[in-house]
Amino acid sequence: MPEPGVQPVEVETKQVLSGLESVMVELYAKSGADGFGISPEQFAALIEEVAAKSLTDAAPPAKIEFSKTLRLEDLVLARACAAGNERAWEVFLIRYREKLYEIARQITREDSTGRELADSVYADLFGTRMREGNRVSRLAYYGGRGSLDGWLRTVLAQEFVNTYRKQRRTVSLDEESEEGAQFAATASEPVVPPDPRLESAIDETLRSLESEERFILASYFLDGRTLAQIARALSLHESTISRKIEKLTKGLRKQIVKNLSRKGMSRRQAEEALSADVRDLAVDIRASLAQDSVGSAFSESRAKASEGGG
Amino acid sequence: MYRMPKVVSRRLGAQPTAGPHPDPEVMAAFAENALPNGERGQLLQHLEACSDCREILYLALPDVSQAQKVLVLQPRPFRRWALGWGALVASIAIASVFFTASRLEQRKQRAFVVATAPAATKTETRIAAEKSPPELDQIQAARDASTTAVALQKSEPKPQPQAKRMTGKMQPELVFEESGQVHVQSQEKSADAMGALVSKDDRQKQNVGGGEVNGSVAQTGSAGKVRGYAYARSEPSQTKADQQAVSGQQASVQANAVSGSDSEQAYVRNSPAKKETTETAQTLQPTNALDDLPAAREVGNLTVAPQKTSGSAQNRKTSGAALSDLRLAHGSTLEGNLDGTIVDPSGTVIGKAKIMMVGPTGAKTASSDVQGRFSFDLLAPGYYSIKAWASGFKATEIKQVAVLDNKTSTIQLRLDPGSASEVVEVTAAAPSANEGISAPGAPPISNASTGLVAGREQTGAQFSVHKDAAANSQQKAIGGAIGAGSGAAAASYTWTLSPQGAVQRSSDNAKTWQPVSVATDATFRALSAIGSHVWAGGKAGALYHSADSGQTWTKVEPAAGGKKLDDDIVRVDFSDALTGTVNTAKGEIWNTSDGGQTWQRK
Repeated sequence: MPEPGVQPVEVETKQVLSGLESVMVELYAKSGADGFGISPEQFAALIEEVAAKSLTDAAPPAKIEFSKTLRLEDLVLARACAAGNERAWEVFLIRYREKLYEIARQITREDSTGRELADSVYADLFGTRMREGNRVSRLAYYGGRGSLDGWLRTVLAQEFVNTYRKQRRTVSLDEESEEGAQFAATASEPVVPPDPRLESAIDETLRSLESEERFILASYFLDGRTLAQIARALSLHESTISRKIEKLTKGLRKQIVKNLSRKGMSRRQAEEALSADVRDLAVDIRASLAQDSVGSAFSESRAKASEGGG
Repeated sequence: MYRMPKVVSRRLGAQPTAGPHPDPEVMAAFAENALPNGERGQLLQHLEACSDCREILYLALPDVSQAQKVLVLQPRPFRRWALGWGALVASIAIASVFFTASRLEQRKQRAFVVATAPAATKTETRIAAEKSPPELDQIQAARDASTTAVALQKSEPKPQPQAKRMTGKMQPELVFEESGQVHVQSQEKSADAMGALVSKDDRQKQNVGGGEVNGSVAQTGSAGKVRGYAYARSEPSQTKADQQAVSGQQASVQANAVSGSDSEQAYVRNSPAKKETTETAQTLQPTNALDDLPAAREVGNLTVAPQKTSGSAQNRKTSGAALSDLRLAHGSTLEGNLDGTIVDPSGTVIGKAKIMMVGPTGAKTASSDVQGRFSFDLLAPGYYSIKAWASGFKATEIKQVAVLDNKTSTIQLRLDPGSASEVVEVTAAAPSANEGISAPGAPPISNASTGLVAGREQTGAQFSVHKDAAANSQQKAIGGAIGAGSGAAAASYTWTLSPQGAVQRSSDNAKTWQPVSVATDATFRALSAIGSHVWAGGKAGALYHSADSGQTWTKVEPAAGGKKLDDDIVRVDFSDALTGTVNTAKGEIWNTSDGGQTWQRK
């Protein structure tokens, strides 16, 4: 017994796990990582790696919140596949082998090309490339922020755009001429540049829009996407996109005219400048005078453009 | 449909691309609405100007049917705003409905009061009636009469329906005896699952028809929480009593207490709607449960078998809640506890071990203390899987660990040295005769693991509770002991320093102390113990370490950057066997992360 009056000092160690550690343990259980041979430490390191790549704030609360948003089951499956775990590959093949072909067919709209695309990406996922003696699998780059399904779609789409589009740009001249295609001469540069005030006013107006609005306009007017496609891309309703485009197009015109007025154009001039681009005007005349002598049409239009420009 | 001047289109297409092309990870997350707002905005800035990335995005969009599975709708600021207002409007609407309903109730009661009110009120009514057309008078009179009749009806005891043979599905009831034995009172098998939920307030109001209904659970001294359970205590010559209780889930309860010499028991039924309650009340009929026993049936994760017993009402306390209504698998309102100890093969406790428990309601984690102990409280009854690991040991998992309501289960996990990537799986060990626990489909629990009740014995007839949870005492381990030495208690010490600077330890929770010989001429001022590792620091840099709970000691001489630790040590703090800090009187801080082999000095 200790001497009277002496209080024994009990040394205690910390019992409670930190918040991040306890969240990791829970997430580990949910992810099924142990089924693929991933230990808790490896799992925690994986989450750390993904968080370091995606987060600017390294504080534990931010990491905890971020960890909870990840698709953990997909993530551990992908990383286990990248590490060569056989069971993981079995699961991956069962879940995604056919899906890959299906997605590729949807992208390429052609069976054989789709199969080719899927096979090429599958090889990439398996890891046919070697780096420093180690097999490099593309699945190692999946970070769990979106679903593995969505990531595979994006990878396929990217592969398609990079590879197959480039191939399509190169055509066989023999094949084309046999089909009756005629190769036109390169169009000549327009002689009269558009009014710089017009371009400046348009740029100013476009800059005042939000990124999402410019994205919608670009998708609809430049890419020719449908309202439904744009709505799906932005996770909005089709009617919302419709209203946005209507509002944007009306507002754009007004704002550009206003900007042009501030730059010294009269309202009428601004409306005209907006309605008809000089380059379009030249093309239109050329097209409408196609049956007449081309040379005189060109000389007349050039003369008019040089008078009207500036 | 929508038009934009070509010149504007051209300028739109001529915008410079912002930032690098995003990787598929970010694009996929964007398509699934899984990006935070800031990152989403950055990506949109790129996409608005990069036609290639837009093409990839649109090509990668799933079909409509698949999009519904994949998309995660994150509330945008506007949606959050709309959701908030919507919630406010909804809550106002709900509150107004409740207010209206309560007002209607009050009016009905007032109508009853009016019917028995003094003449003045009647005069007013008469005057009002004189002015109104006769048809209206008749309608009003009829209305008043019906209101009065309803009010009067409420005050009168309802005629009790005659007890009939039960057709609803009754759950076997647990009968808790004074000795701690629990018997299952068989009930007639019927179609609907029955149970009782009675709010405590309602329970207090109930005293109908000579029977008494109480809402407390039969067992006292519960270690866990029990809410809202009702049972009816049967009395001799008790007539049937109907009661309606309103719980948060609108369950209606009827308790039928039936007189009888052997089966004086009451049971309650739970029906989802009042209509059903009325109907089933008429069909409810308790049985003596002696003649017709239902077969053993699985309830939640436990197998419950009826008991062929009889006894006086006084020996039998009935629980109105059948086992299945305890909702063992999900949403249980009864809770138990799980305590445990982590030890190594020598029986030495392991502190700072990590324990993960996975069960019916999800996963929980804990860490063992310096004495290797851990606990999980307020668990839903059911079977759990416990996994533990610690640095330098193999992970060990025990499956099918039973936790019962109102009981504390205790286990002991032994971790073998090795790598954490190796996992040792254990299921419950074999029982001895007439004792123990049996989980369906799993081997029974060892003799060392008494103290819990669940499952079914060989005869399929009786459950036994071996220890009362009221004592809340540590019970013997279940299923946790691995290999030899199951049930052996692990040695655990409490450490201290005497005023003279000598190291002492106690194995009986500081009741008695034994001196520990460390070094002949050392006087210690600081001590740290974690598991079997003990560090003692003293004058002139004296630092000693024991890895076997003080049986042998090693002198440690920290050195870093050519300098040795020679100052008086005033504090030693180790968070695990490898990582610790030593503070000196001059304010030096020495750290190690490899058990003292190398040190860093601040």
